Amino acid sequence: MPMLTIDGREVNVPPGATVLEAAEQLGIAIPTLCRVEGLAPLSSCFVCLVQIEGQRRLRPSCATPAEDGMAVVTDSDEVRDARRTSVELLLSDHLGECTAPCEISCPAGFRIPQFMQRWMFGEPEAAARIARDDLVFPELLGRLCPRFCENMCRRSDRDAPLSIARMHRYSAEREIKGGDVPLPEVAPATGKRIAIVGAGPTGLTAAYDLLRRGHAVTVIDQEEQPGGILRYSVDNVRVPKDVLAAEADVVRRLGAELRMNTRLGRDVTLEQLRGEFDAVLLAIGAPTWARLDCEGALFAQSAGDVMRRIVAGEPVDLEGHVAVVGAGHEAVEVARTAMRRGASRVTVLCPRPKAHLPLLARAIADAEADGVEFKFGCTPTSIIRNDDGLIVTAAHRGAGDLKTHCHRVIAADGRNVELDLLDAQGIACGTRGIAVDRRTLATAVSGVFAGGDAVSGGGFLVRAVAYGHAAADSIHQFVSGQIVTGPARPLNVRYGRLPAEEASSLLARTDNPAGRNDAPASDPAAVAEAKRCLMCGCRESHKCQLRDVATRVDADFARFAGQRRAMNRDESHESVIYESHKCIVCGACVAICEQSQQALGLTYIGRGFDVRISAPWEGDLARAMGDLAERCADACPTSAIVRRPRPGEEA
Amino acid sequence: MSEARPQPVEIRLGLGSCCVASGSRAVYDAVADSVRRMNADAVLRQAGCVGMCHRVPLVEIVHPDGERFMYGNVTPDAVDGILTQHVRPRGVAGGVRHYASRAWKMLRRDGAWQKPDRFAITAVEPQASAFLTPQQRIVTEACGRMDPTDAQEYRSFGGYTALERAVGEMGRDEVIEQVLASGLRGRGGAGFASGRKWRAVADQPGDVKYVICNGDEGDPGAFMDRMLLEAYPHRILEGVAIAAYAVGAREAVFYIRQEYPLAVQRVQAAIEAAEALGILGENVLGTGTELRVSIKQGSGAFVCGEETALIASIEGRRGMPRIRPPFPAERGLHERPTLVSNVETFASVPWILREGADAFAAIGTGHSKGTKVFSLTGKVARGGLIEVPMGITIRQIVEDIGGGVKAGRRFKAVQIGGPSGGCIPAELADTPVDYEALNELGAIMGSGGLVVLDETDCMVEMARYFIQFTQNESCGKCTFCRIGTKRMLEILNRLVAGRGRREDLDELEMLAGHITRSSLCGLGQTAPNPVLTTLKYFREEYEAHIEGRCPARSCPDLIRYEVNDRCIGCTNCAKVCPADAIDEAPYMKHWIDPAACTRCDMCVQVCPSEAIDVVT
Repeated sequence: MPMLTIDGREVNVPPGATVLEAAEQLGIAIPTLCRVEGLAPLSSCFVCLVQIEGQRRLRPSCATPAEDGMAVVTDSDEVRDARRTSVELLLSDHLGECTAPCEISCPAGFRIPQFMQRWMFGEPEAAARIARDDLVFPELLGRLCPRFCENMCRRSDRDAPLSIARMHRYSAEREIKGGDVPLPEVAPATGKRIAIVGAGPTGLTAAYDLLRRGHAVTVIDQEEQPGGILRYSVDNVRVPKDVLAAEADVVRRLGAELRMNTRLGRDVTLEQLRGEFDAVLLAIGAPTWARLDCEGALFAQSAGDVMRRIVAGEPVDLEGHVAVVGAGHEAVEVARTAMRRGASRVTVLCPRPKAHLPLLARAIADAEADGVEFKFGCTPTSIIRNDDGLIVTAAHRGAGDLKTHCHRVIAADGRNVELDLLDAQGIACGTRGIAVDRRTLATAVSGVFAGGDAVSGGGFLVRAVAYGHAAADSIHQFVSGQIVTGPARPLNVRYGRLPAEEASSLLARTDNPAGRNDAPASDPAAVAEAKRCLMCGCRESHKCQLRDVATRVDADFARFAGQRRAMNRDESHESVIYESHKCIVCGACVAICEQSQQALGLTYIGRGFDVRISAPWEGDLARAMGDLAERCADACPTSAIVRRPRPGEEA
Repeated sequence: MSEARPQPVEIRLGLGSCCVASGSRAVYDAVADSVRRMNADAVLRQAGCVGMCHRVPLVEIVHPDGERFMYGNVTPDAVDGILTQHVRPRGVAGGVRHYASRAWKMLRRDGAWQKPDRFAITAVEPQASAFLTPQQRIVTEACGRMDPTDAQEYRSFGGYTALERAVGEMGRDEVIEQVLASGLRGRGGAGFASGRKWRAVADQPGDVKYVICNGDEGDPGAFMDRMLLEAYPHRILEGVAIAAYAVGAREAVFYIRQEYPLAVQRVQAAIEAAEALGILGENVLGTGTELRVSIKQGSGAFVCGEETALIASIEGRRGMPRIRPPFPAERGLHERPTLVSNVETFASVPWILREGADAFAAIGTGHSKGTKVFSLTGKVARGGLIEVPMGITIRQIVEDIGGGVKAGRRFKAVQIGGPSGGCIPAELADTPVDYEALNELGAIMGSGGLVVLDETDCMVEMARYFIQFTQNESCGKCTFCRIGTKRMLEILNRLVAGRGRREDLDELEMLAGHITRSSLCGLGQTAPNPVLTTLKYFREEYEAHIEGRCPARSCPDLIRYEVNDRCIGCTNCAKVCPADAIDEAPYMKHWIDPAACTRCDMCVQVCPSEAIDVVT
């Protein structure tokens, strides 16, 4: 039995074992790409490089026999550098898109192509499951979301983007109408207990994720009902409270304990929570509306008070001309609510220029359609009362003072975290809210995390959901005793600028119907809309070895720019699709065919950089791979060969 | 018995494929025709390569008394004149035919009589002796004096005696000991000790073993293996047979590329001749040992020169290297122990056994023994195929044998070892030809390509050329070689086009380091050498390219052609310009339109007054 040392640790291995196997015996993980169970080492990818003492060159550990007395190093700077370079070289000739542009742009990480795929196959329940798991409030988000995804939809270049928000809204409506929303599968109980302060969207999202992972969750909130800002500060027209109740209720039904009417700092202290629970999430939002900082500020009403009364159904006098001061999406919400609730005219005095608000473009357009007027770049300097009402004087960028005669002013410019409350609990704050590590959302206090508006000082609902997911990931890592790194951030290879021909080939990928359905209201309409999806991104990127290794070695996919293979998709085989532009020429499929001798086999064509793997003599894949196609697909480390998507099979 | 007939005059002519390419076949036919017409008492024989490629077609005439006359750069028209100097027409008919034909030819040529002396190369001619004297013939023994295909003649030069001794008198171990003692190292590139390789194969268990003669020569500008295979097929066959005996192989394979049809043909003829003579076959020289020899023709993939790729190719698979160990000595052809060596290595073996290991070891330096064959090409006066003792300096090769670079130009560097080798600058030309000394400079001995460069050769372009070669020839198996060399090539393309960036040089060095350290086979491991050595010795040229200048005035994108005041307005340049970049304006100073100019250099070549400058 040869005995060798790897990273200074001794190991005995059976004769004939490779260095890679010896390392595995010690639990040392060496990345590999071209290694396939049951095949002789191909030693082509060169990501499993190791250093062997006394040798000048690095060796691929997969094909290097372990010899007695060998001293192997697997984690020196040189080895890491070589592995990273090898992966980066492979990526420079790997034309792919790990994640669809829509999905990348979604803060909550909604798996849009997968969702659409399920609809395409006529599986609305499976589609709804994806929407529920990723968005937690798919119905409400369908109403409120700024829809970054639709801005990014590649289909825009052909006719119009997919109606993504309406699709998940319809999907969720369908679910809610059918009675109780179906619950997701839950992992076995872990015995870990987590306190979440704040039953707003961030807190509920984190609760949903943590419950699914088998942790016990207690949600603490000062209000009577869960929902936070959605419950108490958004007009019922925009957030129907029955829909909110149905979506929020999922958390309770999953087993969360809700301690309502309980206020942090009054009824319970952070110290107590830390004693009682394994981890605490502060998702306390930013409930205090900022006051205007100008002369006569006392004439302005707080948006918080106005909205609260409206939501509660109390009478609010909004007649006449209403001026709303604010630059965020909340201000736009308030303005639209005022318009809806009896104002004859609504003007938004927005301190920021329009060019600085690209994310609000859609909301502004909607509000303008409702009749709301906007004055951009206006910072109020004084509010004076006269007989007719109020005169707001605003410094108007580059145009002197702007006077607005109105009847009421609503201050909706920014919300604040309750700083004094936090100070008392020993939590540090930054300029916008609670100070956290940006990746892990950990506060300076061990086991205490924070997210949502409490950290950002206010933002879109979809970002609150994203905070909830991220906080849940970190908390899960923390209570499971793992190193807390926050949400996984896998490398996303992107196409970059494509030549016109390739770009148009993406748009013509499937023979899908034209014309966007803005509000699919039936299953067939939803299926038709889903069929418009071009299925961008890579269906198998979540199990892509190349992506996994690239993420592990911290590769930069754009480091080596240069010539790369052309886009070429071969759908001639009935069970697999071969996209040679993703191929990294590891040779696994060639070896599988060669070993089994059951089919003609695949082969290498050409030399040098232009080597391609293809059917011999430009023949068809069916003859080349025969029944071995699915084995080849399973062995392919980059999803260059993938099984065809089938109904009933989740990717 | 009647008085012995006087010995005929012997006329020898090389008909290797490069000689044929230079017109030797036509000269050969002219000689044959002339001899027949004159009914002369002369025999015409084809001879192996003399190596004087700069003087072919080369005719050598040997008088019965042994006196030798050489004529170089002979044209078919000159043949009659040369022959009349040495042979007389026999009989009246011969005379008539001869003189009539000569008169007719003179009429046809308007009487332009080419004096035979014009072509003569005398032994004391300083150029010829400078070319020949520093050389030492071991592998190319009997050079130019032996018909390559004639087994009997080979025997008359002592051929197959080494094999006889080996199989007759010496044990296998003794043969291996001799090879070990000679200090012979592989001539294919890496320079592994041959005796140790033989020993490794001989020590492997099992009775099926193979010997492979690697004739897959692919370096641009190298033609040593081809010449040896064409000119000394029996010599190499003998070496292979000795090796097969020593390691216990009963089967040997010549791997020769298809592009060398004459080599294939001659080796095949030699194998058949040797079998007919009982030298090969079931019963080698009557000793009961069996040896079958066959030829496998390669399809011209450079990587098949790598032994594991070569074996894959013989086995019928795509020529792709595999990781070593196991080395072919343990598991080679058909998974059996296999000795793979280069043509020149095998060709050295018969001499070693015949003359003794000590004699071989007496030549050369500390760890580099014997001689090395080089194909000397590039900007030298006398290029050709040479065999020199190890230890000779590069300067001796370039200046003494090669006659230096063209007058008025500066010897700049040599590229030694082909695409795997490196560039050695003129300042280091006193380096001896020695495996270790060359490695130290970043070059390698390689298989023997030696390209001489002068000041008009751009080092960046040279590096680019070789990287392009290896990139095209990479089998594509491993990442670093397949993609890494491509990325290097892209940077070099950028540099020669004047689009280089400051960080490109670091990037080149970084990529080169990775490719060298982490490639699977020799092709990848050595591919960056031309870049690394030029970066080491000629970095300022790279920097000049980044600044948009090509100091050698050779990169088309970085130079301009301009007319100076010496112009006499002769319009010669305008007439030859293929791009119409020069106006045909007689008696006026010409002007070259830089936008139309393709930098083909033809104007410079026809200008009678050196009036065109190349500026960068």
